[in-house]
Amino acid sequence: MTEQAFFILTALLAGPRHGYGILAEVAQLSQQRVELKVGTLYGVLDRLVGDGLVVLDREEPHQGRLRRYYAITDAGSNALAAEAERQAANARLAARQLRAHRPATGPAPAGGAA
Amino acid sequence: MTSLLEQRYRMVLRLLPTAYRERWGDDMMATFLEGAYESTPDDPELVEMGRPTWGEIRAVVGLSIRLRLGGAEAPARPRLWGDAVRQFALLALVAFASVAIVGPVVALLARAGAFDPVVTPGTWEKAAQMLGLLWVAPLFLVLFGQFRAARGVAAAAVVAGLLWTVER
Repeated sequence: MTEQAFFILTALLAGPRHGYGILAEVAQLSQQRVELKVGTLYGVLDRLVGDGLVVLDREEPHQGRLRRYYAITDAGSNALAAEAERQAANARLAARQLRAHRPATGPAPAGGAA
Repeated sequence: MTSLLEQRYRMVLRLLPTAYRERWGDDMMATFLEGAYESTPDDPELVEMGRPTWGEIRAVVGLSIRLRLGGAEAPARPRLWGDAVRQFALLALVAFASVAIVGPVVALLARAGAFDPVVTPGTWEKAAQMLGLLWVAPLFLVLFGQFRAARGVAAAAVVAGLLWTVER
């Protein structure tokens, strides 16, 4: 799963959002670290819909245009949960190796490395 | 009435494959315009006279390329095209690199007295040989998985080759 797909699915957890709503939520959640372009968003969205991880929720007229709202599916939140667990496991692994092999910069923690 | 900004972004969206544009185009337009107005909320008229940023254009160009020449995650037909193009590019790279190596090797053998050179290469031919060697690097970069660097050097080799042709 790409980082973009990861953030888009995360942004949809709180409820269905339309295109710009997803962009804004992803920017906010990532503290502006991930700022998706429109072309990027719809490339990922197309795949997520194709894979059944996201569905069209509803359409609402807004200032003469249709706003389409997208929602995450059960399969989508399962895939996100699996990816989050995979990343967390990777992070734990790296943190453990860093503790074991990097020279301590401050006072050594009580007990030290195993 | 459609604004200049909308007309300009619609031009950019034309780069996308028709089926994809029919499905997502209106939605992309709505999202793009909303983002543009949100970025300058005090002056909608200025927004409407504006142009899509290079970043937005690049994203659509990139999407268009990925849709047509998709990689591992693309649908079957673009993927097939993509694979064909990638394999052809790799074969071309091997061919260019091989040719590039042959020239200097022959020159070295001739200098070592292994045989008499049939023709003595002039300055332009020597330049061409040096340029040809530019193709060896991307091949090894590809072999070691450095695809981005490989693309850069290959692009430089293409430009250098074109310049050589024009200058000559």
